Amino acid sequence: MSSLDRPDHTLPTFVTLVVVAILLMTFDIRTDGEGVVGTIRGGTQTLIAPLQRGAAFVVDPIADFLDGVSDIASLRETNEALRAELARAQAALAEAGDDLARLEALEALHGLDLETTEVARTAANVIGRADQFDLAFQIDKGVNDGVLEGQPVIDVYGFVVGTVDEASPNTASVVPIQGSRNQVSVLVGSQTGLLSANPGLAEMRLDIYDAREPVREGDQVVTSANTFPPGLAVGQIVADAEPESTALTASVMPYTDLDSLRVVVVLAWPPDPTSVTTTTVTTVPEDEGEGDGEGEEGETTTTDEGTDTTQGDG
Amino acid sequence: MRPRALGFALLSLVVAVVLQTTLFVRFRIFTPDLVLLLSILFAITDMRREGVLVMAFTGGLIVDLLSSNLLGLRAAVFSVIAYLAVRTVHRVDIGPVAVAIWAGLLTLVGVVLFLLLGTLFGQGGLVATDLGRRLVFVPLSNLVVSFAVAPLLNRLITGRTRGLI
Repeated sequence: MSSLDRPDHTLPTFVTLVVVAILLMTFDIRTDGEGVVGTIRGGTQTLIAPLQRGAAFVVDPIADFLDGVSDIASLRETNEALRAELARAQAALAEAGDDLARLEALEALHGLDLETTEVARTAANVIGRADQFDLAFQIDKGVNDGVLEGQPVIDVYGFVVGTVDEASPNTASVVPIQGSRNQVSVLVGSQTGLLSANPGLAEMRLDIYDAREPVREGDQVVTSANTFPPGLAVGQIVADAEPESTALTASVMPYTDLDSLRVVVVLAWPPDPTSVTTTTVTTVPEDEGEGDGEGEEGETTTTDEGTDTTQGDG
Repeated sequence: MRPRALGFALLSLVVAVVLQTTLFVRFRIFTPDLVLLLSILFAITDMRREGVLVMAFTGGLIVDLLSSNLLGLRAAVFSVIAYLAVRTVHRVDIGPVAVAIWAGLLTLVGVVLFLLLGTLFGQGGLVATDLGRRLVFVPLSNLVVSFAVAPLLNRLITGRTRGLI
């Protein structure tokens, strides 16, 4: 029996499906992707991940080879530029090593014992994304590997990529900062600002609300705290920008190239997810008395975690 | 619909999802939306019209579940496009070129609808990425791919080739 011999229920079916889809969208918005929706997403990713892994195993070497062949001319130029950059970086590293040795000597001299926090790292392969234009992607590590929702993700060079949006037992979904509705608290020099995504653009928008000085093209933007460990490189200022009154807006080009991401690193940050407050204590040598200025030795700093990443309205 | 045909239809959806999320995301210019293309091309098979809509909805939902977009966004768009496909498929019973152009045009409508609905539901930042490339390359890529996929799909599901002789 062909479809033409049966009663036509196309329109009622169509209306039902569209209504169901709209209900799903409403439900997803209201639950903010949590609860049942998050569980279903995790389950689907778990089911599809083995197939994606298998396909990636076959596809990646071929696609990499084709990429390499097509980019061979630009790769030579990039190689030259990277050699020059490496030489500069090695010189800077040698200088930094000298500074570090002096710092250690001074710390030992003054009896300082700075508390440092080790952040666990989980390397993961990018196994897929919904389509060519979706910024979010799936990785092959999940809750079983210590990857949890909200954890920061960096690339192999240490540049900020984004955060884990959903985590299932063996896979997770990562939303890059360029596609996130959350703002990221960052530092440019000594000024703190908020970095937000620009819909449809690779560049991001930096807002500094208590600007004291201009920012210059090429200035590095690093994370300041909270969602990301402080000091991670995010990108650089695209063009000079002057403060207007006390506010400053500038464009930032992130360092990470999302199209070429194959491996990422998930950071177990904050070190204790149940804790919202971490304390960094600098021990005061008994014979030095009280400090009297900001950043003085002996100061006790309490950092309230999880407050300076603000939810945007997009 | 025969169980075998249903099995092939579901299998083709899964294969399309896997290929789209792993292989085609690596290309900058050749960027077909395979799941959307299947949602359209199911209409040229013997599948019941309601079945075409349900398969399109299912395909969209699977991609939604794997993406960062709102759940149901692609499901709604793919359902609308599948509905347009089943209502207009009789116009392309004249050959593979007509099928390809029809698939390309419906893909363009799908991309535009996805952008509009996505923006309406607050997904502007996520769906507007590479707007120009998306509007040009996805329909063109689907047009090209449909030359290969349409006869294959028809053979698998229907056992014959309709509108492609």
